[in-house]
Amino acid sequence: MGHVQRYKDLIRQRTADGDLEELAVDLLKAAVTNKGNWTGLWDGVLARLLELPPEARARVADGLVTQYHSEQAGPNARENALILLGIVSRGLPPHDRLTAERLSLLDKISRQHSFWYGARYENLIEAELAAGRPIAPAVVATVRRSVLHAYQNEDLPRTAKKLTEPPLNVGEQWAEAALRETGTAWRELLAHTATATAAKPSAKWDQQASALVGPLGADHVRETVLPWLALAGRPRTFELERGPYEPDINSAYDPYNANALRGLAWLLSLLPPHPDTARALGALVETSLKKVAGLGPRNPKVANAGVNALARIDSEAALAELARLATRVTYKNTAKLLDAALETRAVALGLSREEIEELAVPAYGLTEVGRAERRLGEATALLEVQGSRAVLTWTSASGKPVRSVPAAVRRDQAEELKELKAAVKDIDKMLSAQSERLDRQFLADRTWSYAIWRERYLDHPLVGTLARRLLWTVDGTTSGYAEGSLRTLTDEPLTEGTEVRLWHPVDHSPAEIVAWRDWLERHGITQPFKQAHREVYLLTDAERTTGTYSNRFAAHVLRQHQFHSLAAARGWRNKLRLAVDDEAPPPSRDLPRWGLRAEYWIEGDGGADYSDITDSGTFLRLRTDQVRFYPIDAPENSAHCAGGEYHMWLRDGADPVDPLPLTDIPPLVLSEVLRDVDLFVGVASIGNDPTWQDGGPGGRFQEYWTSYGFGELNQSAETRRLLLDRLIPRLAIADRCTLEGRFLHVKGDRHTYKIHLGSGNILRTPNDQYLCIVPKSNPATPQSGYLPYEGDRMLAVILSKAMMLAADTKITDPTILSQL
Amino acid sequence: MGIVMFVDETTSGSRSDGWGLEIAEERLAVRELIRRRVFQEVAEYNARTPAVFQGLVQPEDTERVLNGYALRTPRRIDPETQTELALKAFAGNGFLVLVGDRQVTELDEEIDLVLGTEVTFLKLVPLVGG
Repeated sequence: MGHVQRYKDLIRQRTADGDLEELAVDLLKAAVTNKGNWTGLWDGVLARLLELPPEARARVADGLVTQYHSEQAGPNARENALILLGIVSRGLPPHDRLTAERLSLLDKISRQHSFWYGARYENLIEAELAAGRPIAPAVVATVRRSVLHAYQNEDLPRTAKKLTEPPLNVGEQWAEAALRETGTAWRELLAHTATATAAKPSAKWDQQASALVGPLGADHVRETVLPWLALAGRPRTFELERGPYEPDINSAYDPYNANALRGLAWLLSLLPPHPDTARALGALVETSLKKVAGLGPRNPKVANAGVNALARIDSEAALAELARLATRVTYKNTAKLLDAALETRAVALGLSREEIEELAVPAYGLTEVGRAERRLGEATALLEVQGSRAVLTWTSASGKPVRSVPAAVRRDQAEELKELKAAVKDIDKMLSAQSERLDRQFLADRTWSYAIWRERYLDHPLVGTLARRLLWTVDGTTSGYAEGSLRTLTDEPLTEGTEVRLWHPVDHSPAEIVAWRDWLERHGITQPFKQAHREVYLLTDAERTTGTYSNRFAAHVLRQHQFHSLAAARGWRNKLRLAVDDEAPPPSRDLPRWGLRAEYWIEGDGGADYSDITDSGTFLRLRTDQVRFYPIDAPENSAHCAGGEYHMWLRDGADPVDPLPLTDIPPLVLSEVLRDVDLFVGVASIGNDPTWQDGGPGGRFQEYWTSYGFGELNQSAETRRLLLDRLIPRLAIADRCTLEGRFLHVKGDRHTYKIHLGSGNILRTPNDQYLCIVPKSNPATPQSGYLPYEGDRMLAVILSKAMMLAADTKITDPTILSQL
Repeated sequence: MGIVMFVDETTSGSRSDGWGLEIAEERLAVRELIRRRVFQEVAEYNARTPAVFQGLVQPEDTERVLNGYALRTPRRIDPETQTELALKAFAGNGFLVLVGDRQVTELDEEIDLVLGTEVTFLKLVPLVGG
């Protein structure tokens, strides 16, 4: 503060003494004192300066030029001199002081994402404008981006308002296409789209937009705008300089243009509905949610505008797009918007949310299940769903199959061909979305009346291609679709029924499950997702003992970001753990149909000195703990991000709600939840990453890494396999063992088992039931044999398991027996 | 009479060179074979009493450390007790014994010890349900 007053006094004194060139030196010293940050009280110093008469300021300006050229001036001093020059020469008659230098500084600025308003770069712009020169579009772009975070500052926005050309920021492919392709008639409309800064368009905004569209023609606007949207998110036309700790700004949207994108989305929803519009908006939502390093989803605001726009369009295509996105989008805010949009539509139609999703699946021109024929001129196009893909084949006028699109069709039916090809793409996307929706139906525990189910599932032109490859329970009888009809296990046709459910293996005996697997194989049916081969997780005795929690997936080390996206994809809520002093709830999945909430307890692991965190302070890895179930309305648990116990903090002395005994959890729910958790561990565990051979930072995960293995056999598991190959023939149990692929198969008296050579996990064949047998961590008796070497503990575990399972009638451990 | 080679097969792929033990008999029960091995390694330990015992089974009142078992207080190990532990461990699948290319499973089984017979010990781990 003392400084500010000192410089104010100096200005007065130098002016009185006529030492105005000297004042330039003082001002540069001031810039050093405030580190080039002319904000707050320093404003007063600048104001004092501007009060000086023009001739005095001209002399200060000359002084600054001298200082700029002086030998002792470094790059900082030069930059400060240029900015101060801009300030003092405001309103002075045109001059050519340091013009080239100013332009080169502006050029430097144009390669930045943005600058801080305290830098007062607007004075450079003002000086250029005063000289009557246009500002380079790239500089305009930087200024506009900077304005978006110029809080409580009026100078920069005031200058930015003068920069009306070009209407969009350069640097992004879509914006440059828009600038290139449109004439003056469009300028106002483009400028209007950039004013879309609110979450939702106001009536006034809509009105103005409609008025601007009018003279251009709605169809013309749609046809022009849609190709731009497809370019959003493409690599920038020129890269910006990325500073240390800065997110990947080159993959992010330009924030000024992002508003324009939002405006374009709103604009499209004002035009008459068209399938292309729905498609483009859906794609925009997905592009805008792609993750960018250091930033997360690229631009949720634009994604949300896309959803809002789709919600405003009253067409079947838009509804279908919303339903499709609802199965794809995991970003919470956008997912909520999608949910609300579908809910609104459901309420308007008097249907349930599930029903609206079922009804929203369009047939995309398919006339029967998975098939459509279209005549285009002389040729015929056959659109067929094969597996989970749509395939287009052609027959010529003479009825011969041809490889590619007939030339005549290309020439004469270009429009129809385009539409057909778009349908093929839509079907592909919708098939995967529907397959995921059906997968989620297990926990939704839906039942359908037979007639409705046939219409919306089995006989639906698109969904039918999936539904006919799944097993269904019709009035308690399992059935599958083969040879043109719904059939039972003995291939008896099943023609009617009243109530239908999706079949899940947990309710069925291993013999039945296997019989159905054979049935599917016999009929050559490949299921769209694991149903008959679905892993089943049954309650173990250890879990009965622990009562309210399962330790089955405890003590793993997971890559946090991978876990985070997997969790979202499987419908779990999760918060990224940051290395900060804060609490967070555990990852949890709500199961409203069952009135339950599943929790998987985790904690951040940053290493002893917190070195294992990202630039943004997020833990790279997590440690896992128990799986628990609570009533869905129980208060939230939370724990410190860096670890410590989970607890419920309750107000008013209320008692915390106890976790539910695992025995009370329906087997289907338990199995599906544990399957999710197994997936998290199986995929995100550092144990399955071969690059972790060194045990990670400081080798502290070495033991965990070596004891773990999933999926494909890594090198150590391959070695293990070779060893077993050599060892097994010598063992007493040799005739009960076979090595096949990734597993050691062991024939016991009760069952046959397969032991994974990587992880040592056991699956009971043939129904792939997970058998939980673990090394005893703290043997009470000295029975653990020891040999004077540290070998491959996993091989010992596998051998031990094989020995035990080969004589499975001799097992006495009740916690194992109960699983057999 | 001949030399019997005791090999501790490492489960990471390599084999220890093994160490020879002179055995006068031509036939021996598995029980006795294990006893001889334990007696030998205990005798070697007791002669030097290093901090870490490297043997077939963990002696009582010791801590597991890298490459062996640490004795809380340096003491002599009783070969008889240690043999008892080893036989119990064998019965409880604590380790496997291969004679030549064949696994032996019964303690009372008599085996032929021809010249250069290799006896392999393979460690197993105790298991529980989870």
